[in-house]
Amino acid sequence: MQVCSLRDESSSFEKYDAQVFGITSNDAESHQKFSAENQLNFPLLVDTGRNLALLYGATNAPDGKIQRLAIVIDKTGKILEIDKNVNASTHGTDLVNFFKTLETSN
Amino acid sequence: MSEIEATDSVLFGVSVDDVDSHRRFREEEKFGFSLLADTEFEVSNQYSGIIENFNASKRTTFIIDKAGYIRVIDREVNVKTHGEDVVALLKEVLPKIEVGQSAPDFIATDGTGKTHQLSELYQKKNVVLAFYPRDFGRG
Repeated sequence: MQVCSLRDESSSFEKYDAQVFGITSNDAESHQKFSAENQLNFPLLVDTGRNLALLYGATNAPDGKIQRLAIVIDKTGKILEIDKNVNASTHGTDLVNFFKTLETSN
Repeated sequence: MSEIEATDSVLFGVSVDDVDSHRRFREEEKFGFSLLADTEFEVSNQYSGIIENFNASKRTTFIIDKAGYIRVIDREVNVKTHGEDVVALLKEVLPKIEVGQSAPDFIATDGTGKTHQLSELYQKKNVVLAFYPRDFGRG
């Protein structure tokens, strides 16, 4: 699962000073259960109105399906990366590799 | 497609006239967008304000993005150039989701009820927004 893959890389995200948020259209109650069941160590944002999904292009209608999408934002608020082909089972390591490459190129 | 629609936006005219008046006005002028009948002054009171002696909405433009944020309030509407002015404003203020562009701000709550504002978060850390279809199922 994508969220578990993100959970498992939490120490690397800490190393790269990154905070991960999961976002989908389920409500707070669902998020709490889901977090507990999967022992998630990062927040899940409630987007029942799909406002964030619409804003960032993860869906195209207020009742549309939310697509897997990752947006990386740097400390100046600029978008660093848009990944529309998220691989659910390797998303955590894929992100870590992205930060690693970024560090090397700087 | 109009230039406004081309920016992925939908335009509404709002005035305190009723539905019949709007229908006639629309047919006469042949424009393609909807007019909202704010006969109870609810929208006008909240957004534009009322011209008191005239009992009508003040000319005001609001641009609201897909997250529900007001990006523009323009109270200096030029009647002659309003169309092109709106198109220019839309192109300028609507967020662009592209690498190198500013990430549009938002405020959202998490499952525990805690509030997070993007513009406060990214000052402290790099931020990853991971959208996924739904809880449970395949997560």
